[in-house]
Amino acid sequence: MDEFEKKLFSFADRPTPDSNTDEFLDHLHSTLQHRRKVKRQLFSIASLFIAGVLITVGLFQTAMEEEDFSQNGKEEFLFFTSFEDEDLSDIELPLDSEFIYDALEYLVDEVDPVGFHSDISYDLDLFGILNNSHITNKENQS
Amino acid sequence: MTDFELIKQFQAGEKGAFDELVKRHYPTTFAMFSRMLREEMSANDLCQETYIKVYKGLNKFRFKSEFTTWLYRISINVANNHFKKQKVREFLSLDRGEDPITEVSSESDFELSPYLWKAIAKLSRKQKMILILRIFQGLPFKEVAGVMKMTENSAKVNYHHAIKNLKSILRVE
Repeated sequence: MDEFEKKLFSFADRPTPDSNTDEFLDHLHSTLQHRRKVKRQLFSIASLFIAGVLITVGLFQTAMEEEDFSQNGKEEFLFFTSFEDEDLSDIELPLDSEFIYDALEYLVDEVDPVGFHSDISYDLDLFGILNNSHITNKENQS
Repeated sequence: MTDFELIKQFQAGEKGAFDELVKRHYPTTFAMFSRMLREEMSANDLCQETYIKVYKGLNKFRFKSEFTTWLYRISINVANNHFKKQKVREFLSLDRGEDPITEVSSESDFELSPYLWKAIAKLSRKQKMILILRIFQGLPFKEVAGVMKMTENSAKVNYHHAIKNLKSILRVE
């Protein structure tokens, strides 16, 4: 052992502050108690959170199961309805031809003084929505 | 009553046995941390952290080593964590200029030197711990080896490297 080591050992032998074991033990137990309390609280919060998530998921699943997404007896989810397989001309539009005819008459009588109505009626006839043969007949007579 | 008997009592559910263990070993642990840190407050904090770990781990103690060896190992881990945190704090603080290491000439200089611990802190983790256990805790090499989980010869070699490096850091001939 050289001088340096001897100095180190003498440095290590210097007196240290007095230790109060009883005070330390009291403090240690209160810290342990506090940590246990915090741990319990964290556990409760985590349990509540997990329970909340489980309940939410359960309610959502039940709601999804109860909801009727079928259409004409066919299970179909509306958001994903595809028209790819259908020809658009086959789709029947729920138009009331009587209503359209009345509207057209109104336009002819009240709104269209320059005879624009005839173009509209031709278009409607062309698409087969309105049978306006009476207009065509009138034109033929004139 | 031996340490092992007290631990067996604790493991059997008698929590008061832990208090007896603390009463027996706290002064030594406190002295070690006080020498390491030079601050009574931090030494007490580290002691507390150490004994909390002891309390939590005592049920898993398997009697394969001495209780003191196990206690030193925990103390060293706690000290190590403390030094790591301190390093991070120093790194993050605005004033992080390094103190110069002054030459240690006389014994009084050496005893009062605030740089000794800074120099020790510059050693590798293994060397630092071996030095602390050997010099500041006064453990024989056999026990140092037990705590550090290495052979006695390896502990001696590491110790001599630590002394050599410390001399070099402190510029001691």
